[in-house]
Amino acid sequence: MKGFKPSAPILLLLPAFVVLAAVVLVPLLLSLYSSFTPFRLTRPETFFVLIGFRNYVSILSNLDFWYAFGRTVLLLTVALNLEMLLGLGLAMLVEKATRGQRILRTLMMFPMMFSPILVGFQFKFMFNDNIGLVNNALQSLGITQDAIPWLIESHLAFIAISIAEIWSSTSIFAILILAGLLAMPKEPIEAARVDGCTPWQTFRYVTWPFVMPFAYIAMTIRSLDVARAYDIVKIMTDGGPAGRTELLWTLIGRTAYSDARMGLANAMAYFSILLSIAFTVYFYNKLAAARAQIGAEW
Amino acid sequence: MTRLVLGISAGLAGLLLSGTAFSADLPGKFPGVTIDAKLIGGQQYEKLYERIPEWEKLTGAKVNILSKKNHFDLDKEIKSDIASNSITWCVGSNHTSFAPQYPGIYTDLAKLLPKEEIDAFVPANVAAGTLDGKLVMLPRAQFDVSALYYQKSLYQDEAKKKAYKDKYGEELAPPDTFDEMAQQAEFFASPPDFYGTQYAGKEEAINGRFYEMVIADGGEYLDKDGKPAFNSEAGVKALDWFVNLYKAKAVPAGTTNYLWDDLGQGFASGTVAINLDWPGWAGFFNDPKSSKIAGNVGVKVQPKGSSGKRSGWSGAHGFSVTENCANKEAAASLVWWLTNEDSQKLEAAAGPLPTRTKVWEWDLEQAKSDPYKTEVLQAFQEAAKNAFPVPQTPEWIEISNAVYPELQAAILGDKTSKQALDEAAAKATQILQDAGKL
Amino acid sequence: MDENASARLMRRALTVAHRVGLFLAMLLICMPGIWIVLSSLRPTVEIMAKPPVWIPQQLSFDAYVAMFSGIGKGGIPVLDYFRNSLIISVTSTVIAVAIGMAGGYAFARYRFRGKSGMFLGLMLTRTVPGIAMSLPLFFVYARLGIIDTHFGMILAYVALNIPFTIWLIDGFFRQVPKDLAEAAQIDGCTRWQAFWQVEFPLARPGIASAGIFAFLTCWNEFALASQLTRSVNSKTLPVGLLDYTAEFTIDWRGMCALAVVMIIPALTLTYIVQKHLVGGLTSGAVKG
Repeated sequence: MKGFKPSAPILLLLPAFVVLAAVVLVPLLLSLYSSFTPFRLTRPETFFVLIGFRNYVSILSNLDFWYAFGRTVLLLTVALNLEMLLGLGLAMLVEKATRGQRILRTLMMFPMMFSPILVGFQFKFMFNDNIGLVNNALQSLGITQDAIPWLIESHLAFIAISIAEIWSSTSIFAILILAGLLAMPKEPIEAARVDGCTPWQTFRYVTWPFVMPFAYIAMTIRSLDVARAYDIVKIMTDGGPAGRTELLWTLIGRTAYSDARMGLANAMAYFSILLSIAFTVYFYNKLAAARAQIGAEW
Repeated sequence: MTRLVLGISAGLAGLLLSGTAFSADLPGKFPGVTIDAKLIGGQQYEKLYERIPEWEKLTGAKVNILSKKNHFDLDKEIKSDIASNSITWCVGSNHTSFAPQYPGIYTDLAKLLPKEEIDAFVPANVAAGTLDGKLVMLPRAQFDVSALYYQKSLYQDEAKKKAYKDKYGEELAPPDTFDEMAQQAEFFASPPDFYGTQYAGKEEAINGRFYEMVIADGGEYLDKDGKPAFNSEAGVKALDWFVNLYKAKAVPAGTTNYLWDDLGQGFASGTVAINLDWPGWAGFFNDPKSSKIAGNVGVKVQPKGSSGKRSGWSGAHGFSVTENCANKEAAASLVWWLTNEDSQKLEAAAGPLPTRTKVWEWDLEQAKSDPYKTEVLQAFQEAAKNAFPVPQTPEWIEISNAVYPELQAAILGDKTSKQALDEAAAKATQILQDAGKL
Repeated sequence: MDENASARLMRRALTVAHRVGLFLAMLLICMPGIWIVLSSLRPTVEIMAKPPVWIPQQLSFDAYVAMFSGIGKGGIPVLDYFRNSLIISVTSTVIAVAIGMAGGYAFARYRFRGKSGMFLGLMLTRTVPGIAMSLPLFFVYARLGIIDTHFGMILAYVALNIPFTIWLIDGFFRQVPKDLAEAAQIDGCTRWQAFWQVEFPLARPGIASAGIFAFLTCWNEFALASQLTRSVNSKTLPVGLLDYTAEFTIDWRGMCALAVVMIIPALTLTYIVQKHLVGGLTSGAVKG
């Protein structure tokens, strides 16, 4: 251990870097390269033909692509915000419970046990217009006489997909925020109560600032992993009908494999990565700000 | 179609040249050989795979199953293998709709198997498996063409008969044309509890149905130069059929998101009057364990289009041998084994349609004591006469993917049929141009 | 006196509201799950019935019996899938948490050049969607010959989980006051000892939740697994779900039964591990 001695943090981070370089970086470079080729899966020789930015030009000039892009941003915004609000509510409900914490916490995480493709199948069946649980319930309760086309009408389909997505991911927010609530020192709250703060004030000025970094951690983690929604949407509508629920990922998936146009699909994928990066960086900055506010060292 | 004819004749030429193999030699001896295989997965196929050990025993070879997936996932896997140059396996499950996408990876089975064995198959099925003169797949007993299923009781109900006669001035009988079918569907429908008919509304499913109807209405999907020609008058008429049923609420509101499974379950739940569907469901529909309309199912040949033609978009499953395979004779022997008479009888007994002439005869003979099965087989035998595969262009699936959202847009009322078809044709033309086909 | 009474009433009302809210929330969360369990026990005619059958008429374990009864008799190689899933998920979780602890500690406790950028860079490796990642990764794996192996899957999942295990653990180490470890070092502990005896127990809830996350991600991951696994050598349970889809049909009851088999171990594990979420929180120390 004499001679060259790398600093401790570098040594500690080395394993992470090695694994990520091997599994993420190399494939990423490969797909970056292929986004400049007309690569078709069924014709491997096309991997070696360079066509410059033609793939990028063709997706950028494609209106359907931009619709899918916009829809993806909208879904992310709606879903992430609702998930955070609901997650916060859920965490506080569970934290307040005096009995059955273990069971409650486990149940709270229940949706996380469901593989996204299972969530897709499950909600597809539930929202089926003819024999689905939701319409059956609405009809039995006399709320409606019609078969509501949940997965067909644009807004309803968006709602149905959002519900599936929110159901499956709210737990992540809830559990992280709950962990934050539990890690929170108790004195400030007691002090606030002694000072005569209302519960809302206590929440707003004591609890929330402390929990906020956890909420943003959850938010950032989710925005990193949003493409998970692909599995759900793929099963539920696969972007249809008539492209009404097309998201970037469903478009990429179909272009890449079914159409076998991997070069084009990779160009799209790079765009979707930019989107994830934008979301991540945004929340990350929020997180840094929140941390600064509670005086954590950065 | 010319390409098809060319294909068949070239295939036959290939047959004549290969005189080395004889049926009597099959399955042959291949001690120590291991065949890697990718097979279609699903409970209904397992029975057939149980015959593999028998083949292993007879030939001394081993079969190593690399993966078992449905054809969509298998397609993804095979494409990945092609792209990464890792086709190291020998036998792959194949499908007539997917086969044209993999030019060159599969070898000509006509050169590996004796002519009389290939002649024993229904000629149309062999033609569908022949691409550019190469017999790339040998069809198993899983031939798909659609026929009309209907609830018999609806046509025996006196009140309904009378109401129908009063309304349309015709006798109520299972439909013989698509126009009658639409009319009856509207007549029977009473949403949200009961629907006249339904159709699979996405992916290749809707495109295939549309393709079938265009032909039945006297049009063409691709013209003789391979150019998209479905935005013709016949095309608009065909698409309008789907649009009008949707508008009249004669089909479930979710139909544009349905695939075959939803159709099957829907018809079995007893909430749909008429259903144009595949032979694989015949048993399911008539089984009280899975269907509420068991005992009440009638089957009829597919309806005629406005040109007076019946048409049947069809598909067949089969097995292929790769060009890269080290021991093609052994692989071909396995493919033969899985599609030979005994194997086809085994499969056909469970419902699917065979692709060997002899097995068809056997199947009909077996069904004699079972009126439902006889009705099913006769209807499908009739339907099979009008069957044709998808256009054998590698771009078929890609064209499908571009066309189906446009068809949906017309059905849902976002566009007129003509608009939608013009745009779809433009996209399809673009795809063919990109691929250097036009 | 009156004020007291109304305050008490108010508190009672709040308690009731809380209970009701909690109950409704849990009901919403659990209902789809209960529906899955029920579907696995009911015959298809009843699940797909119209008009709906609300109260199950016939319940049976047929789907479960069939699942385990071997290939060709309606069974799927569920034990193989289960073993694969277990090996892959547990191993990759353990490795990811170990690497994550090292990384998280480095970020929380050291200052070094380019730290912020490096941290963000690490996180961003996670932004590549599985669907875009699967083919390039397949290329690399095909070259290395690790398609359809446990090793390949574990490697991929470790990479998948490192970013957020580092992140979470970093966050929790930050919550542990630095003085505690310094105090321990003054008392004669080495940095290593101080870490294990002081900081680790306090950051345990964070490590536990990172572990749960990582495990559940692996246990449920589909996009990569469907591309990188092929046979019973490495196929995991989520990919196995598709065994219940044939060409165009879904055996929904069978799929639900497999889903239940998948969910139970995950649920059990969560139930056991979640206590560590609080276990480390000896409130006195956190207050310090």
